[in-house]
Amino acid sequence: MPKVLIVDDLESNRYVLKTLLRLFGPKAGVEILEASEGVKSVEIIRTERPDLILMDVKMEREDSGIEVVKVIRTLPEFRDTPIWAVTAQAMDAHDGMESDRERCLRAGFSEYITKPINQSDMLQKIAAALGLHIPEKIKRRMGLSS
Amino acid sequence: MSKREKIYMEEADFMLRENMNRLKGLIDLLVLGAMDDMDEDEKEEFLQKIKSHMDSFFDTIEESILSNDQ
Repeated sequence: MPKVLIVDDLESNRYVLKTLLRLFGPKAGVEILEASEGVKSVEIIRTERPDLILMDVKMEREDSGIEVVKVIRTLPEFRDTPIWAVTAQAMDAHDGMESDRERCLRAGFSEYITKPINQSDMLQKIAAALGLHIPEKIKRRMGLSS
Repeated sequence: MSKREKIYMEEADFMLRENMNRLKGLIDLLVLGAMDDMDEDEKEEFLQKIKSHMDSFFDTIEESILSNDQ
């Protein structure tokens, strides 16, 4: 049973991702965990050991997500856990500063996904990462099967 | 572009992405059939969220554009 942790300070963003994960259906048995702040998420990651973490970057602080991923990557058992940045921070490099993408990946995120999220793309990406099957009726609506 | 303009641009970009994410997310999910397996209360909640995000997005844009008396 795969566990997915959603970390975002806004309930409305967590709701969208939770509803997306429900599309896999009850047979997939995806267990959804939630945290609304970075500090709390560290505790959940250590105790629940999720298979995938979808994390906002700007939460209680400007770089909460980056701070969390740096801490998590220092723990050997979480070195390879997929932690995806899901963020509205999408600035290119400027004035000698790194782009948001570079900052996130350098901090230890394994993927960098910018909001607004295309839900079809996200569903396929999560399915591939967790080895889940997308139900046929959803695939048809995505234009992936006849 | 001045530093001040850049800060405004970053703020606007962030705000648009956050607002659009919630709306696009729910509309995408609607098209994918997210409401098919929901009970009546869940459907009501889903539709209320679409309306609430649309209203909030509208308010954000109206404030930022119309408050300049253009």
